[in-house]
Amino acid sequence: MSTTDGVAALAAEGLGKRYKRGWALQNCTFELPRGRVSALVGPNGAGKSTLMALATGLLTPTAGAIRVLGDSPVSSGTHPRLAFLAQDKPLYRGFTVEEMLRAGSALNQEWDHTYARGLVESAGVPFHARISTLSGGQRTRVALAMALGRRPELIVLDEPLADLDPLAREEVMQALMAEVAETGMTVLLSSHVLADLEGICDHLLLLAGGRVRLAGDVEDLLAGHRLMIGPSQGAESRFPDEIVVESRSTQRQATVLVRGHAPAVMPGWEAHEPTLEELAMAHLRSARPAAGQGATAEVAAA
Amino acid sequence: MIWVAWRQQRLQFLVSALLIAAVGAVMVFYRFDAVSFMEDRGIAGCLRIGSDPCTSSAMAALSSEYKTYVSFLPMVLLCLPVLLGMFAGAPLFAREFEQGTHVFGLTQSVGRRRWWATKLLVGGGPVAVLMLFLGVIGVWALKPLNHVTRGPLLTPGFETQGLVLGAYTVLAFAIGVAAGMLFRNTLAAMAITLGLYLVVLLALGGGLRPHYFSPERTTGTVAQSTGESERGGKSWIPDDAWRVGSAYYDDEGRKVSFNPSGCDGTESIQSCLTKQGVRQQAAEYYPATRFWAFQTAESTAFLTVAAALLALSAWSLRRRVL
Repeated sequence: MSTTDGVAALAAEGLGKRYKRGWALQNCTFELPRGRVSALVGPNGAGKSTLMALATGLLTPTAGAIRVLGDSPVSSGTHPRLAFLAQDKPLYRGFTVEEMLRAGSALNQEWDHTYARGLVESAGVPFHARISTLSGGQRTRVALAMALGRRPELIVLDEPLADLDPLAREEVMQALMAEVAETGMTVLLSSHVLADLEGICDHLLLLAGGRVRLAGDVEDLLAGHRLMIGPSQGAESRFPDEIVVESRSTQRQATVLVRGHAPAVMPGWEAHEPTLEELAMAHLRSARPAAGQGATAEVAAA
Repeated sequence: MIWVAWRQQRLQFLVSALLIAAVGAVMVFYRFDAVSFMEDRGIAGCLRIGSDPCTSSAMAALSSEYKTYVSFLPMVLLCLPVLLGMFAGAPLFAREFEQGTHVFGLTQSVGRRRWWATKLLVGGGPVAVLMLFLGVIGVWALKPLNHVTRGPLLTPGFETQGLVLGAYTVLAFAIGVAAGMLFRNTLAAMAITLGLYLVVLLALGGGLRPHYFSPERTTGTVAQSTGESERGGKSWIPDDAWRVGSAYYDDEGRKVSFNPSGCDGTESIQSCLTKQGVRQQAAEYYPATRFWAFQTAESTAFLTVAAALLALSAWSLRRRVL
């Protein structure tokens, strides 16, 4: 285990994973710096879960390499400074919450029992309750406590908010972000709901079709794009192809996301800094295979 | 890790232990019951038909008293290993995969191999030891009933005592574990355990067991080999021996065939043999004293198959966990 502070929390180089049905992840290169809260965004099947499983060592790469805090994952357990919360929050159903915490201490050399107990307590989950009787929100809080009890430097959460009601979403996110603020740990968080991530994430990793489409600091990425809104007539010829990420138009109005700063003053056009959601959605739509692009072209031509 | 594995398997183990203890208690009870019955009849210590007081009529009385028990017990003891394999072995990994908890277990600071080995030892070890113990108790408990079970080498007497009960349990458990690991479905793993266990039991027990060693051979005239009445009911070969082969010879010592269905039922077997031209008969058999050698050989065979299956499950885990 190396804890040299200069090393990225998570880094991939030429990372690829192939299943029988094809490549789930291909030629991924990125670095997640320490202390960042990174949103892992992508459509279903983009390779998000595969990437996370590669980081934990549950899967081994077909190509390239992934490094967790500078180390390659090995089969003798997940990196001691990495905690992983899987999508379905797997916990032993027959155990009580107390027994689950004891399992955490039995399965880890480094385990902060007082801290994990405190997290469960502040979530208001009774210790004697069986895991199978917990609500979705309570279960997530216990699973989160199990992950944080390892005192990780990097915590990886796969869709932690899926199947939670809005109130529980907010509570889980608050609980997580409070610990992040306290410890300064690095977070990699995947979610379908971009609105959940807005204002929380300062780093973005956008996957589509098994490839990294966008990676970097959220502020830099937002500052590096402009959302142009103007009349739809002749919109498609206004911008050079190489800077257009995606353009959409209705009868009257065209919305074009472009890379770089807004082109010189154009009458009738307004330039905005995109929101994280607008930026991500435009990139995801543009990454869709030909059918999607065809549709966009048709709309633009209409 | 040991505590976690134990906590996961606690219920199965307690139920298994209770079941095994109940069967053991019944066997011990019948041992004492049989011993006192034999003392009452003055045949204490009689293992087979022999000289007075172990006469054929006294032993027949013993048989009729205990034949229900002796025919019922094997059904229980033959089922027990496969039941334990189905309920302790099959879900061991299959349920983890079904509920996704292997993702939890394998993302802690415990390596795959240790996770596998600990679950295996905690889930299967105690049950196998208990079954081995039950088998050893069985040897002691069934001893007075040696005549009723027709000796310790014949089916089902052989399968229901001694070392093999432990070995059968290990095999059934290993089939359950390997099937659960490969198919990741508890129900499928349980069905495969039942099916595959029966196949191996029949193939090894039925097909291979007579060939573990070479049998003893004895040859005699038709009169020698069939004259049980002259010997007070004593068979030509010990009646608790396991007869595995017969051969028939004519006057000139040539091998002939004998067709038992050619006998009309009213004549003695001796006259029927003579009528079909048989003058001499040879028998191949294993005496009951070979019991422990057979037990060791059969246990080794079963444990070898079990080890191969466990290796298969280890390979499967190494190759793929998601």
